[in-house]
Amino acid sequence: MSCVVSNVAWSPLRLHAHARPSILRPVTAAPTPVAPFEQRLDPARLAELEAERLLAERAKAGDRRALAEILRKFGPILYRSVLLPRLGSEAVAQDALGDTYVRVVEKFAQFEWRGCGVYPWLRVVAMRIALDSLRSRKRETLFDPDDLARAADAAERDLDQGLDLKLCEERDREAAKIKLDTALGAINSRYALAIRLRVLEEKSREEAAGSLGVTVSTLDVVLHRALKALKKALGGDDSESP
Amino acid sequence: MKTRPELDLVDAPVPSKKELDAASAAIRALVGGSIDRFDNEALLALALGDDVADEAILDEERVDANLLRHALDGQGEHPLAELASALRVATGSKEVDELTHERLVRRALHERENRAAPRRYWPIASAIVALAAGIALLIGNVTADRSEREVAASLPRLRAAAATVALIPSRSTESLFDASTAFGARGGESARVGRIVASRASDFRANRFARWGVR
Repeated sequence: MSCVVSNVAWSPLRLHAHARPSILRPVTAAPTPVAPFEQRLDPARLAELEAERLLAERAKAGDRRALAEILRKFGPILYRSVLLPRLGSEAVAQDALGDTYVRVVEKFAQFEWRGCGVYPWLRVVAMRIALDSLRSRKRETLFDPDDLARAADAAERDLDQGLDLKLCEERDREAAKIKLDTALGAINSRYALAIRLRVLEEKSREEAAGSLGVTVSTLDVVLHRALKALKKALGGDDSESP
Repeated sequence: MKTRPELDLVDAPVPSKKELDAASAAIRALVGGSIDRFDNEALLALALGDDVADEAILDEERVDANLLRHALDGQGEHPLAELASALRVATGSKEVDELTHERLVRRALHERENRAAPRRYWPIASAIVALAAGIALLIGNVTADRSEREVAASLPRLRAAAATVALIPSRSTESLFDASTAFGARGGESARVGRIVASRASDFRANRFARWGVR
């Protein structure tokens, strides 16, 4: 099976504007002839994939060390790109990573090599686990269960298409960025700036207040209003917070 | 008799609100003092053109904003601080702690072992236990049969021996204690029971040895 390693035809921005269920689905632009996967990869990556295939075969045959090696290699990427951004809490993301590993260990016998490595398959498992986690416990996160359900479906399509690890990771990061930018774009620009300065860039209260031209205690109120507005923009119920 | 200033006050018309405010301002100017913090914030915000000043900041909002600030600093909890934290990690590239990760990997692999082991070995273990139980039953039956036969055979002999041996009879424990001294209202129960047990255990052993013909 061939793998997609190019991001040329994919436009998350365009997709997001339409808020289609397939937020991560690649845009199928004019069909362009695609060279076979192996021809588009550099020799180093090809050698890496071959080693990965052998490792996966050993793991499928019940070699625990091989399976542990796979988890050690790809687990941190799943945590960083899939679980943490979507679950919004380190503790919850770590629990989800543990559950993902348990599921992978149980199901790895069903894994089929698709030419692009193990990561896209692991990503689908992690997405499903994250979705279950988000559904089971209501949390304040950037993503809601519907977003995650769409992302999980998209991850399955990516697996079918044989997306390369790097592109999967890039898509996940991009999805989080777009989601955040869209939500910030929906609120007052001054509120968005307060969130960017104080929350995302982690500036001190004094610095953020200086940038906004207000006193620090006014900044606290501005930030409070900003986060309430963002929560509303994300579709959350802000009745909990006065 | 009233003094002149008091008479003036009595005769003077009631001051209007505007006059009272002006008087208060004059007093504040003369006495000095600081402006209320919230009023100051509102004036600053108004002067700086901040949107917060467009509407009055309610005290509750100020309190909640303060709670949020503390929560953002890691002191206490606030739903909006949870959202802020989620935003932060969503766009960051925080890695999983190495030790935590290793623990998760090992747990997943061992969990599988723990689940797989009973499934794999259960039939074998069951068969071994069943076999052992069968053998124990068989040996137990054989031994029981032999014991019963032996007991039945020796019973007349034992009965005859018992009939000829003088056994220590059951009797009161009165002799074990001083009849002239009454038991205390509280305490000493364990010591008395201990004395009875020691005495009767000795009698029991003596009777048994007598029955067996070893004494």
